[in-house]
Amino acid sequence: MAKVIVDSEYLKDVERARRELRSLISGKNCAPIMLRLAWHDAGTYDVNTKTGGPNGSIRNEEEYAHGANSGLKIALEFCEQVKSKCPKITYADLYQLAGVVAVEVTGGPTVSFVPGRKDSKISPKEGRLPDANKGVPHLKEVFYRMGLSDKDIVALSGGHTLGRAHPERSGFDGPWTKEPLKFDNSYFQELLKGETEGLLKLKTDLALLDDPDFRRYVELYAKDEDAFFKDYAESHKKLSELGFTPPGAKTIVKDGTILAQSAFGIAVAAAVVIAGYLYEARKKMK
Amino acid sequence: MADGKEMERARRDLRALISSKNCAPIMLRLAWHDAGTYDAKTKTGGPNGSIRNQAELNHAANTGLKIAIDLCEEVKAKHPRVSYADLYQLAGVVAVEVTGGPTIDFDGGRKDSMASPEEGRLPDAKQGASHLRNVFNRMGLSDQDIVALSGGHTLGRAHAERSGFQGPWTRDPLKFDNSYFLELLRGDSTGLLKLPTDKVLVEDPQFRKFVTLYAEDEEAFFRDYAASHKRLSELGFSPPSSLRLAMKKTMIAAVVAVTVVFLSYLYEINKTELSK
Repeated sequence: MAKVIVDSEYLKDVERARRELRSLISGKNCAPIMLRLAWHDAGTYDVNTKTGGPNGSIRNEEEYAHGANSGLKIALEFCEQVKSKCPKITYADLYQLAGVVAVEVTGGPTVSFVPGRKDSKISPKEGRLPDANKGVPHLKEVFYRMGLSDKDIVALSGGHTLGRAHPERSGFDGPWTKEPLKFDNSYFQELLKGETEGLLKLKTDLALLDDPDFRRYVELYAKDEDAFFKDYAESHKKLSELGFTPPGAKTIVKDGTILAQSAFGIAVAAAVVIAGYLYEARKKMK
Repeated sequence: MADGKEMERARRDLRALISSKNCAPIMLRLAWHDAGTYDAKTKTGGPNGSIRNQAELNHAANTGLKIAIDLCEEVKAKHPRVSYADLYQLAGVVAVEVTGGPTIDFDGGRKDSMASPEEGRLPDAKQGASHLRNVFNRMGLSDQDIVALSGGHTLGRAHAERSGFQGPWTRDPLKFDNSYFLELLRGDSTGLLKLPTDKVLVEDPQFRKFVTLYAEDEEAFFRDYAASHKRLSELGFSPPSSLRLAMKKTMIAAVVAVTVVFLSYLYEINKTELSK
Protein backbone atom coordinates (compact mmCIF):
# COMPACT_ATOMS: atom_id res chain seq x y z
CA MET A 1 0.00 0.00 0.00
CA ALA A 2 1.42 3.40 -0.98
CA LYS A 3 2.49 5.59 1.91
CA VAL A 4 0.22 8.49 2.72
CA ILE A 5 2.14 11.71 2.15
CA VAL A 6 0.86 14.21 4.66
CA ASP A 7 1.99 17.37 2.88
CA SER A 8 0.35 20.79 2.96
CA GLU A 9 -2.08 19.75 0.18
CA TYR A 10 -3.19 16.75 2.20
CA LEU A 11 -3.57 18.84 5.35
CA LYS A 12 -5.70 21.36 3.43
CA ASP A 13 -7.97 18.53 2.32
CA VAL A 14 -8.22 17.33 5.92
CA GLU A 15 -9.27 20.78 7.14
CA ARG A 16 -11.79 21.05 4.34
CA ALA A 17 -13.15 17.61 5.21
CA ARG A 18 -13.38 18.65 8.86
CA ARG A 19 -15.55 21.63 7.94
CA GLU A 20 -17.71 19.59 5.56
CA LEU A 21 -18.16 16.98 8.30
CA ARG A 22 -19.20 19.62 10.84
CA SER A 23 -21.83 20.93 8.48
CA LEU A 24 -23.05 17.45 7.50
CA ILE A 25 -23.14 16.03 11.01
CA SER A 26 -24.82 19.09 12.53
CA GLY A 27 -27.25 19.48 9.65
CA LYS A 28 -28.32 15.83 9.61
CA ASN A 29 -28.06 15.24 13.38
CA CYS A 30 -26.14 12.05 12.59
CA ALA A 31 -23.35 12.35 15.15
CA PRO A 32 -24.18 9.02 16.84
CA ILE A 33 -23.98 6.87 13.71
CA MET A 34 -20.80 8.62 12.59
CA LEU A 35 -19.20 7.89 15.96
CA ARG A 36 -20.27 4.26 15.64
CA LEU A 37 -18.74 4.07 12.14
CA ALA A 38 -15.38 5.33 13.42
CA TRP A 39 -15.45 2.93 16.37
CA HIS A 40 -16.39 -0.07 14.24
CA ASP A 41 -13.63 0.59 11.71
CA ALA A 42 -11.04 0.92 14.50
CA GLY A 43 -12.34 -1.71 16.93
CA THR A 44 -11.36 -4.69 14.79
CA TYR A 45 -7.70 -4.21 15.72
CA ASP A 46 -5.69 -7.18 16.94
CA VAL A 47 -2.51 -6.01 18.65
CA ASN A 48 -0.90 -9.48 18.31
CA THR A 49 -1.37 -9.97 14.59
CA LYS A 50 -1.47 -6.25 13.78
CA THR A 51 -4.55 -6.77 11.63
CA GLY A 52 -7.75 -4.77 11.48
CA GLY A 53 -7.90 -1.28 12.97
CA PRO A 54 -8.76 2.15 11.54
CA ASN A 55 -7.93 1.50 7.87
CA GLY A 56 -11.18 2.20 6.05
CA SER A 57 -11.79 -1.52 5.43
CA ILE A 58 -15.31 -1.14 6.80
CA ARG A 59 -16.34 0.24 3.42
CA ASN A 60 -15.89 -3.25 1.96
CA GLU A 61 -19.26 -4.83 1.47
CA GLU A 62 -18.18 -8.03 3.18
CA GLU A 63 -17.37 -6.04 6.30
CA TYR A 64 -20.34 -3.73 6.49
CA ALA A 65 -22.49 -6.81 6.03
CA HIS A 66 -21.24 -8.15 9.39
CA GLY A 67 -24.05 -8.32 11.97
CA ALA A 68 -22.31 -5.81 14.21
CA ASN A 69 -22.26 -3.26 11.38
CA SER A 70 -25.96 -3.40 10.61
CA GLY A 71 -27.23 0.05 9.67
CA LEU A 72 -23.79 1.61 9.06
CA LYS A 73 -24.28 1.90 5.31
CA ILE A 74 -25.99 5.25 5.95
CA ALA A 75 -22.88 6.59 7.62
CA LEU A 76 -20.71 5.29 4.76
CA GLU A 77 -22.91 7.14 2.28
CA PHE A 78 -22.70 10.38 4.28
CA CYS A 79 -18.93 10.08 4.32
CA GLU A 80 -18.94 9.45 0.56
CA GLN A 81 -20.52 12.90 0.12
CA VAL A 82 -17.55 14.43 1.92
CA LYS A 83 -14.99 12.23 0.14
CA SER A 84 -16.30 13.44 -3.23
CA LYS A 85 -15.41 17.03 -2.23
CA CYS A 86 -12.14 16.07 -0.54
CA PRO A 87 -10.71 13.32 -2.74
CA LYS A 88 -7.18 13.31 -1.26
CA ILE A 89 -8.17 12.27 2.27
CA THR A 90 -8.02 8.53 2.86
CA TYR A 91 -11.18 6.72 3.95
CA ALA A 92 -9.35 5.63 7.09
CA ASP A 93 -8.65 9.25 8.04
CA LEU A 94 -12.11 10.39 6.96
CA TYR A 95 -13.96 7.89 9.15
CA GLN A 96 -11.83 8.75 12.19
CA LEU A 97 -12.21 12.48 11.54
CA ALA A 98 -15.97 11.94 11.36
CA GLY A 99 -15.85 10.33 14.81
CA VAL A 100 -13.86 13.25 16.20
CA VAL A 101 -16.24 15.83 14.71
CA ALA A 102 -19.28 13.88 15.96
CA VAL A 103 -17.99 14.24 19.52
CA GLU A 104 -17.14 17.91 18.98
CA VAL A 105 -20.44 19.17 17.59
CA THR A 106 -22.46 17.40 20.28
CA GLY A 107 -20.59 19.30 22.97
CA GLY A 108 -17.91 16.72 23.78
CA PRO A 109 -14.20 17.21 24.34
CA THR A 110 -11.76 18.09 21.59
CA VAL A 111 -10.13 14.85 20.48
CA SER A 112 -6.72 15.35 18.91
CA PHE A 113 -6.64 14.18 15.29
CA VAL A 114 -3.45 13.24 13.49
CA PRO A 115 -3.83 12.38 9.77
CA GLY A 116 -1.94 9.81 7.71
CA ARG A 117 -3.80 6.48 8.03
CA LYS A 118 -3.50 4.20 5.00
CA ASP A 119 -6.52 2.60 3.41
CA SER A 120 -6.84 -1.17 3.27
CA LYS A 121 -9.08 -3.49 1.29
CA ILE A 122 -8.51 -6.36 3.71
CA SER A 123 -11.41 -6.99 6.07
CA PRO A 124 -10.96 -9.01 9.25
CA LYS A 125 -13.26 -11.92 10.05
CA GLU A 126 -16.56 -11.27 11.72
CA GLY A 127 -16.63 -11.39 15.50
CA ARG A 128 -13.95 -8.92 16.60
CA LEU A 129 -16.35 -6.26 17.90
CA PRO A 130 -18.01 -6.70 21.31
CA ASP A 131 -21.24 -8.65 21.69
CA ALA A 132 -23.76 -6.58 23.63
CA ASN A 133 -25.24 -9.68 25.26
CA LYS A 134 -22.05 -10.63 27.05
CA GLY A 135 -20.30 -9.61 30.23
CA VAL A 136 -17.08 -8.57 31.93
CA PRO A 137 -14.74 -11.34 30.71
CA HIS A 138 -15.85 -10.80 27.09
CA LEU A 139 -15.36 -7.03 27.27
CA LYS A 140 -11.87 -7.46 28.70
CA GLU A 141 -11.00 -10.08 26.08
CA VAL A 142 -12.12 -7.90 23.17
CA PHE A 143 -10.55 -4.64 24.36
CA TYR A 144 -7.30 -6.16 25.65
CA ARG A 145 -6.96 -7.78 22.21
CA MET A 146 -7.00 -4.26 20.75
CA GLY A 147 -4.34 -3.18 23.24
CA LEU A 148 -6.71 -1.10 25.37
CA SER A 149 -7.17 -0.98 29.15
CA ASP A 150 -9.95 -1.11 31.75
CA LYS A 151 -9.99 2.70 31.87
CA ASP A 152 -10.39 2.79 28.08
CA ILE A 153 -13.29 0.33 28.26
CA VAL A 154 -15.23 2.49 30.70
CA ALA A 155 -14.37 5.83 29.14
CA LEU A 156 -15.24 4.64 25.64
CA SER A 157 -18.50 3.10 26.84
CA GLY A 158 -19.36 6.69 27.69
CA GLY A 159 -19.86 7.10 23.95
CA HIS A 160 -23.32 5.70 24.60
CA THR A 161 -24.13 9.21 25.82
CA LEU A 162 -24.95 9.65 22.14
CA GLY A 163 -27.52 7.89 20.06
CA ARG A 164 -29.86 4.96 20.41
CA ALA A 165 -30.17 1.31 19.53
CA HIS A 166 -32.57 0.24 16.78
CA PRO A 167 -34.61 -3.00 16.75
CA GLU A 168 -34.00 -3.45 13.03
CA ARG A 169 -30.26 -3.08 13.53
CA SER A 170 -28.97 -4.53 16.81
CA GLY A 171 -32.28 -5.81 18.08
CA PHE A 172 -32.13 -3.46 21.04
CA ASP A 173 -34.23 -0.33 21.26
CA GLY A 174 -33.86 3.20 22.55
CA PRO A 175 -31.42 5.78 23.83
CA TRP A 176 -29.17 5.39 26.89
CA THR A 177 -29.65 8.98 28.04
CA LYS A 178 -32.34 11.63 28.04
CA GLU A 179 -30.46 13.72 25.46
CA PRO A 180 -29.06 11.40 22.83
CA LEU A 181 -27.61 14.30 20.84
CA LYS A 182 -25.66 15.76 23.74
CA PHE A 183 -22.22 14.45 24.67
CA ASP A 184 -21.88 14.55 28.45
CA ASN A 185 -21.42 12.22 31.45
CA SER A 186 -25.12 11.42 31.85
CA TYR A 187 -24.52 7.83 30.65
CA PHE A 188 -22.62 7.15 33.88
CA GLN A 189 -25.15 8.92 36.04
CA GLU A 190 -27.91 6.82 34.50
CA LEU A 191 -25.88 3.64 35.09
CA LEU A 192 -25.62 4.42 38.79
CA LYS A 193 -29.27 5.46 38.95
CA GLY A 194 -30.37 2.00 37.78
CA GLU A 195 -33.44 1.12 35.68
CA THR A 196 -35.23 4.10 34.13
CA GLU A 197 -38.34 3.95 31.99
CA GLY A 198 -37.47 4.51 28.34
CA LEU A 199 -33.71 4.30 28.75
CA LEU A 200 -31.61 1.38 27.53
CA LYS A 201 -28.98 -0.59 29.43
CA LEU A 202 -27.21 -3.38 27.56
CA LYS A 203 -25.66 -6.29 29.42
CA THR A 204 -22.30 -4.83 28.53
CA ASP A 205 -23.31 -1.48 30.06
CA LEU A 206 -24.39 -3.16 33.31
CA ALA A 207 -21.14 -5.12 33.34
CA LEU A 208 -19.37 -1.86 34.10
CA LEU A 209 -21.01 -1.92 37.53
CA ASP A 210 -20.22 -5.58 38.22
CA ASP A 211 -16.48 -5.36 38.06
CA PRO A 212 -14.72 -3.28 40.74
CA ASP A 213 -11.99 -2.20 38.30
CA PHE A 214 -14.65 -0.82 35.98
CA ARG A 215 -16.94 0.51 38.70
CA ARG A 216 -14.46 2.96 40.16
CA TYR A 217 -14.23 4.70 36.79
CA VAL A 218 -18.01 4.76 36.43
CA GLU A 219 -18.25 6.48 39.81
CA LEU A 220 -15.51 8.95 38.95
CA TYR A 221 -17.03 9.91 35.60
CA ALA A 222 -20.54 10.17 37.03
CA LYS A 223 -19.47 12.86 39.47
CA ASP A 224 -16.72 14.56 37.47
CA GLU A 225 -17.51 15.40 33.87
CA ASP A 226 -14.14 17.08 33.34
CA ALA A 227 -12.38 13.84 34.34
CA PHE A 228 -14.60 11.90 31.93
CA PHE A 229 -13.90 14.31 29.08
CA LYS A 230 -10.16 14.16 29.71
CA ASP A 231 -10.05 10.34 29.80
CA TYR A 232 -12.51 9.99 26.95
CA ALA A 233 -10.43 12.22 24.70
CA GLU A 234 -7.32 10.13 25.44
CA SER A 235 -9.07 6.81 24.93
CA HIS A 236 -10.81 7.94 21.76
CA LYS A 237 -7.51 9.13 20.31
CA LYS A 238 -5.88 5.81 21.24
CA LEU A 239 -8.68 3.84 19.60
CA SER A 240 -8.54 6.00 16.48
CA GLU A 241 -4.80 5.33 16.16
CA LEU A 242 -4.63 1.57 16.82
CA GLY A 243 -1.91 0.20 14.57
CA PHE A 244 -1.20 3.67 13.22
CA THR A 245 2.07 5.49 13.74
CA PRO A 246 1.44 9.17 13.19
CA PRO A 247 4.15 10.56 10.87
CA GLY A 248 6.23 12.87 13.15
CA ALA A 249 3.84 14.63 15.50
CA LYS A 250 4.09 18.38 15.01
CA THR A 251 4.18 20.35 18.20
CA ILE A 252 1.90 23.34 17.93
CA VAL A 253 3.42 26.11 19.99
CA LYS A 254 1.18 29.01 20.91
CA ASP A 255 2.20 32.61 20.30
CA GLY A 256 2.65 33.32 23.99
CA THR A 257 4.94 30.35 24.56
CA ILE A 258 7.24 31.32 21.68
CA LEU A 259 7.37 34.85 23.03
CA ALA A 260 8.16 33.67 26.55
CA GLN A 261 10.80 31.23 25.34
CA SER A 262 12.51 33.86 23.20
CA ALA A 263 12.45 36.34 26.05
CA PHE A 264 13.96 33.78 28.37
CA GLY A 265 16.66 32.97 25.81
CA ILE A 266 17.53 36.62 25.38
CA ALA A 267 17.61 37.13 29.12
CA VAL A 268 19.98 34.21 29.62
CA ALA A 269 22.26 35.33 26.79
CA ALA A 270 22.29 38.86 28.13
CA ALA A 271 23.07 37.66 31.64
CA VAL A 272 25.98 35.58 30.38
CA VAL A 273 27.40 38.48 28.37
CA ILE A 274 27.00 40.91 31.27
CA ALA A 275 28.65 38.47 33.65
CA GLY A 276 31.51 38.09 31.18
CA TYR A 277 32.01 41.84 30.94
CA LEU A 278 31.91 42.32 34.69
CA TYR A 279 34.48 39.58 35.09
CA GLU A 280 36.78 41.15 32.51
CA ALA A 281 36.25 44.61 33.93
CA ARG A 282 37.13 43.42 37.42
CA LYS A 283 40.21 41.60 36.16
CA LYS A 284 41.43 44.77 34.48
CA MET A 285 40.85 46.87 37.55
CA LYS A 286 43.08 44.66 39.68
CA MET B 1 -16.20 37.25 35.08
CA ALA B 2 -15.99 33.76 33.65
CA ASP B 3 -12.57 32.16 33.27
CA GLY B 4 -11.27 30.38 30.19
CA LYS B 5 -12.54 26.97 31.38
CA GLU B 6 -16.05 28.26 31.95
CA MET B 7 -16.03 29.81 28.49
CA GLU B 8 -14.95 26.49 26.96
CA ARG B 9 -17.81 24.72 28.72
CA ALA B 10 -20.25 27.32 27.43
CA ARG B 11 -18.82 26.88 23.94
CA ARG B 12 -19.37 23.12 24.11
CA ASP B 13 -22.92 23.54 25.35
CA LEU B 14 -23.57 25.97 22.51
CA ARG B 15 -22.22 23.47 19.98
CA ALA B 16 -24.57 20.78 21.25
CA LEU B 17 -27.53 23.17 21.31
CA ILE B 18 -26.94 24.75 17.93
CA SER B 19 -26.20 21.44 16.17
CA SER B 20 -29.10 19.53 17.61
CA LYS B 21 -31.66 22.29 17.10
CA ASN B 22 -30.30 23.32 13.68
CA CYS B 23 -30.61 26.92 14.82
CA ALA B 24 -27.27 28.28 13.60
CA PRO B 25 -28.87 30.94 11.37
CA ILE B 26 -30.94 32.62 14.07
CA MET B 27 -28.03 32.50 16.54
CA LEU B 28 -25.81 34.24 14.01
CA ARG B 29 -28.48 36.86 13.48
CA LEU B 30 -28.74 37.40 17.26
CA ALA B 31 -25.01 38.02 17.55
CA TRP B 32 -25.04 40.39 14.58
CA HIS B 33 -28.05 42.34 15.83
CA ASP B 34 -26.54 42.81 19.28
CA ALA B 35 -23.25 44.04 17.81
CA GLY B 36 -24.56 45.97 14.80
CA THR B 37 -26.03 48.83 16.83
CA TYR B 38 -22.56 50.23 17.47
CA ASP B 39 -21.84 53.90 16.84
CA ALA B 40 -18.09 54.50 16.67
CA LYS B 41 -18.49 58.25 17.32
CA THR B 42 -20.66 58.10 20.42
CA LYS B 43 -19.35 54.70 21.51
CA THR B 44 -22.88 53.52 22.19
CA GLY B 45 -24.54 50.25 21.27
CA GLY B 46 -22.41 47.28 20.19
CA PRO B 47 -22.05 43.73 21.54
CA ASN B 48 -23.16 44.30 25.14
CA GLY B 49 -26.14 42.00 25.59
CA SER B 50 -28.59 44.90 25.52
CA ILE B 51 -30.61 43.07 22.88
CA ARG B 52 -32.18 41.00 25.67
CA ASN B 53 -34.05 44.12 26.79
CA GLN B 54 -37.70 43.81 25.81
CA ALA B 55 -37.53 47.36 24.48
CA GLU B 56 -34.80 46.37 22.02
CA LEU B 57 -36.33 42.99 21.19
CA ASN B 58 -39.44 44.92 20.18
CA HIS B 59 -37.55 46.77 17.45
CA ALA B 60 -38.90 45.69 14.06
CA ALA B 61 -35.45 44.54 12.95
CA ASN B 62 -35.37 42.05 15.83
CA THR B 63 -38.66 40.28 15.10
CA GLY B 64 -38.33 36.59 15.81
CA LEU B 65 -35.11 36.85 17.84
CA LYS B 66 -36.78 35.99 21.13
CA ILE B 67 -36.38 32.32 20.15
CA ALA B 68 -32.63 32.77 20.07
CA ILE B 69 -32.63 34.70 23.37
CA ASP B 70 -34.58 31.87 25.03
CA LEU B 71 -32.23 29.21 23.64
CA CYS B 72 -29.21 31.11 24.93
CA GLU B 73 -30.90 31.33 28.32
CA GLU B 74 -30.54 27.53 28.64
CA VAL B 75 -26.78 27.90 28.33
CA LYS B 76 -26.62 31.00 30.56
CA ALA B 77 -28.39 29.03 33.31
CA LYS B 78 -25.51 26.52 33.37
CA HIS B 79 -22.81 29.18 33.08
CA PRO B 80 -24.02 32.22 34.99
CA ARG B 81 -20.61 33.89 35.10
CA VAL B 82 -20.46 34.21 31.32
CA SER B 83 -21.89 37.62 30.40
CA TYR B 84 -24.81 37.79 27.98
CA ALA B 85 -22.66 39.93 25.71
CA ASP B 86 -20.01 37.21 25.51
CA LEU B 87 -22.59 34.44 25.26
CA TYR B 88 -24.37 35.96 22.27
CA GLN B 89 -21.08 36.56 20.43
CA LEU B 90 -19.84 33.07 21.26
CA ALA B 91 -23.13 31.70 19.90
CA GLY B 92 -22.46 33.55 16.65
CA VAL B 93 -18.95 32.11 16.43
CA VAL B 94 -20.18 28.57 17.13
CA ALA B 95 -23.02 28.94 14.61
CA VAL B 96 -20.45 29.61 11.90
CA GLU B 97 -18.22 26.77 13.09
CA VAL B 98 -20.77 23.96 13.22
CA THR B 99 -22.17 24.80 9.79
CA GLY B 100 -18.75 24.32 8.24
CA GLY B 101 -17.55 27.92 8.28
CA PRO B 102 -14.17 29.32 9.27
CA THR B 103 -12.85 29.36 12.83
CA ILE B 104 -13.37 32.82 14.28
CA ASP B 105 -11.05 33.89 17.04
CA PHE B 106 -13.00 34.59 20.25
CA ASP B 107 -11.91 36.59 23.27
CA GLY B 108 -14.20 36.97 26.27
CA GLY B 109 -14.67 39.87 28.65
CA ARG B 110 -17.51 41.93 27.22
CA LYS B 111 -19.58 43.67 29.88
CA ASP B 112 -23.36 43.55 29.90
CA SER B 113 -25.46 46.67 29.49
CA MET B 114 -29.16 47.30 29.85
CA ALA B 115 -28.94 50.52 27.86
CA SER B 116 -30.60 49.92 24.50
CA PRO B 117 -29.93 52.27 21.59
CA GLU B 118 -32.79 53.87 19.66
CA GLU B 119 -34.45 51.89 16.87
CA GLY B 120 -33.07 52.30 13.38
CA ARG B 121 -29.36 51.49 13.72
CA LEU B 122 -29.49 48.17 11.87
CA PRO B 123 -29.67 48.10 8.05
CA ASP B 124 -33.00 48.32 6.23
CA ALA B 125 -33.21 45.49 3.68
CA LYS B 126 -35.15 47.65 1.23
CA GLN B 127 -32.47 50.31 0.84
CA GLY B 128 -29.35 50.73 -1.26
CA ALA B 129 -25.60 51.16 -1.33
CA SER B 130 -25.38 54.57 0.34
CA HIS B 131 -27.61 53.37 3.20
CA LEU B 132 -25.39 50.31 3.68
CA ARG B 133 -22.30 52.49 3.75
CA ASN B 134 -23.91 54.93 6.21
CA VAL B 135 -24.86 52.15 8.58
CA PHE B 136 -21.60 50.17 8.44
CA ASN B 137 -19.26 53.19 8.38
CA ARG B 138 -21.07 54.41 11.49
CA MET B 139 -20.01 51.15 13.15
CA GLY B 140 -16.45 51.71 11.94
CA LEU B 141 -16.59 49.02 9.25
CA SER B 142 -15.52 49.14 5.60
CA ASP B 143 -16.79 48.14 2.14
CA GLN B 144 -14.91 44.86 2.43
CA ASP B 145 -16.59 44.17 5.79
CA ILE B 146 -19.98 44.91 4.24
CA VAL B 147 -19.53 42.36 1.48
CA ALA B 148 -17.83 39.70 3.60
CA LEU B 149 -20.44 39.95 6.35
CA SER B 150 -23.29 39.86 3.83
CA GLY B 151 -21.91 36.40 3.09
CA GLY B 152 -23.58 35.42 6.37
CA HIS B 153 -26.71 35.07 4.27
CA THR B 154 -25.22 31.73 3.19
CA LEU B 155 -27.08 30.58 6.29
CA GLY B 156 -30.78 30.67 7.00
CA ARG B 157 -33.86 32.18 5.47
CA ALA B 158 -36.17 35.15 5.75
CA HIS B 159 -39.65 34.66 7.17
CA ALA B 160 -42.74 36.49 5.98
CA GLU B 161 -44.00 36.84 9.55
CA ARG B 162 -40.69 38.33 10.67
CA SER B 163 -39.06 40.56 8.05
CA GLY B 164 -41.76 40.31 5.44
CA PHE B 165 -39.35 38.63 3.04
CA GLN B 166 -39.45 34.89 2.42
CA GLY B 167 -37.02 32.05 1.77
CA PRO B 168 -33.38 31.07 1.81
CA TRP B 169 -30.59 32.79 -0.14
CA THR B 170 -28.82 29.52 -0.99
CA ARG B 171 -29.66 25.89 -1.75
CA ASP B 172 -28.21 24.65 1.54
CA PRO B 173 -29.20 27.15 4.22
CA LEU B 174 -27.49 25.14 6.94
CA LYS B 175 -24.13 25.10 5.20
CA PHE B 176 -21.66 27.95 5.56
CA ASP B 177 -19.90 28.40 2.23
CA ASN B 178 -19.47 30.97 -0.57
CA SER B 179 -22.61 29.93 -2.47
CA TYR B 180 -24.30 33.25 -1.52
CA PHE B 181 -21.85 35.05 -3.81
CA LEU B 182 -22.18 32.48 -6.60
CA GLU B 183 -25.94 32.94 -6.47
CA LEU B 184 -25.58 36.74 -6.54
CA LEU B 185 -23.56 36.57 -9.75
CA ARG B 186 -25.94 33.99 -11.22
CA GLY B 187 -28.89 36.35 -10.88
CA ASP B 188 -32.47 35.44 -10.08
CA SER B 189 -33.22 31.80 -9.22
CA THR B 190 -36.63 30.34 -8.45
CA GLY B 191 -37.00 29.74 -4.77
CA LEU B 192 -33.97 31.76 -3.74
CA LEU B 193 -34.16 35.19 -2.11
CA LYS B 194 -32.28 38.35 -3.03
CA LEU B 195 -32.97 41.40 -0.90
CA PRO B 196 -32.47 44.85 -2.39
CA THR B 197 -29.41 45.14 -0.10
CA ASP B 198 -28.05 41.88 -1.53
CA LYS B 199 -28.51 43.09 -5.12
CA VAL B 200 -26.61 46.35 -4.54
CA LEU B 201 -23.50 44.27 -3.86
CA VAL B 202 -23.33 43.41 -7.56
CA GLU B 203 -24.62 46.74 -8.80
CA ASP B 204 -22.05 48.88 -6.97
CA PRO B 205 -18.60 48.52 -8.59
CA GLN B 206 -16.65 48.73 -5.30
CA PHE B 207 -18.79 46.05 -3.66
CA ARG B 208 -18.83 43.94 -6.82
CA LYS B 209 -15.03 43.52 -6.74
CA PHE B 210 -15.35 41.62 -3.47
CA VAL B 211 -18.37 39.62 -4.60
CA THR B 212 -16.36 38.36 -7.58
CA LEU B 213 -13.37 37.49 -5.41
CA TYR B 214 -15.44 35.57 -2.89
CA ALA B 215 -17.42 33.74 -5.58
CA GLU B 216 -14.17 32.52 -7.16
CA ASP B 217 -12.20 31.85 -4.00
CA GLU B 218 -13.91 30.35 -0.97
CA GLU B 219 -10.72 30.45 1.07
CA ALA B 220 -10.43 34.19 0.53
CA PHE B 221 -14.04 34.57 1.61
CA PHE B 222 -13.49 32.49 4.76
CA ARG B 223 -10.35 34.44 5.63
CA ASP B 224 -12.00 37.84 5.17
CA TYR B 225 -15.24 36.72 6.78
CA ALA B 226 -13.44 35.53 9.91
CA ALA B 227 -11.64 38.86 10.23
CA SER B 228 -14.79 40.93 9.65
CA HIS B 229 -16.89 38.78 11.99
CA LYS B 230 -14.29 39.16 14.72
CA ARG B 231 -14.21 42.92 14.19
CA LEU B 232 -17.98 43.14 14.36
CA SER B 233 -18.09 41.00 17.50
CA GLU B 234 -15.60 43.32 19.19
CA LEU B 235 -16.96 46.76 18.28
CA GLY B 236 -16.30 48.97 21.27
CA PHE B 237 -14.55 46.11 23.11
CA SER B 238 -10.84 45.66 23.84
CA PRO B 239 -10.18 42.01 24.68
CA PRO B 240 -8.17 41.83 27.96
CA SER B 241 -6.14 38.96 26.53
CA SER B 242 -4.96 41.01 23.57
CA LEU B 243 -3.99 43.78 25.99
CA ARG B 244 -2.05 41.25 28.04
CA LEU B 245 -0.18 40.06 24.98
CA ALA B 246 0.60 43.64 23.97
CA MET B 247 1.94 44.33 27.48
CA LYS B 248 4.11 41.20 27.37
CA LYS B 249 5.58 42.25 24.03
CA THR B 250 6.28 45.79 25.34
CA MET B 251 8.01 44.45 28.45
CA ILE B 252 10.21 42.13 26.44
CA ALA B 253 11.15 44.97 24.10
CA ALA B 254 12.02 47.12 27.13
CA VAL B 255 14.20 44.38 28.64
CA VAL B 256 16.04 43.94 25.35
CA ALA B 257 16.55 47.71 25.01
CA VAL B 258 17.86 48.07 28.55
CA THR B 259 20.22 45.14 28.03
CA VAL B 260 21.62 46.65 24.85
CA VAL B 261 22.12 50.03 26.56
CA PHE B 262 23.78 48.39 29.55
CA LEU B 263 26.11 46.32 27.37
CA SER B 264 27.10 49.38 25.34
CA TYR B 265 27.82 51.16 28.58
CA LEU B 266 30.06 48.37 29.78
CA TYR B 267 31.79 48.28 26.41
CA GLU B 268 32.51 51.99 26.62
CA ILE B 269 33.87 51.65 30.12
CA ASN B 270 36.02 48.80 28.97
CA LYS B 271 37.37 50.86 26.09
CA THR B 272 38.13 53.73 28.44
CA GLU B 273 39.96 51.38 30.80
CA LEU B 274 42.06 49.98 27.99
CA SER B 275 43.07 53.39 26.77
CA LYS B 276 44.37 54.35 30.21
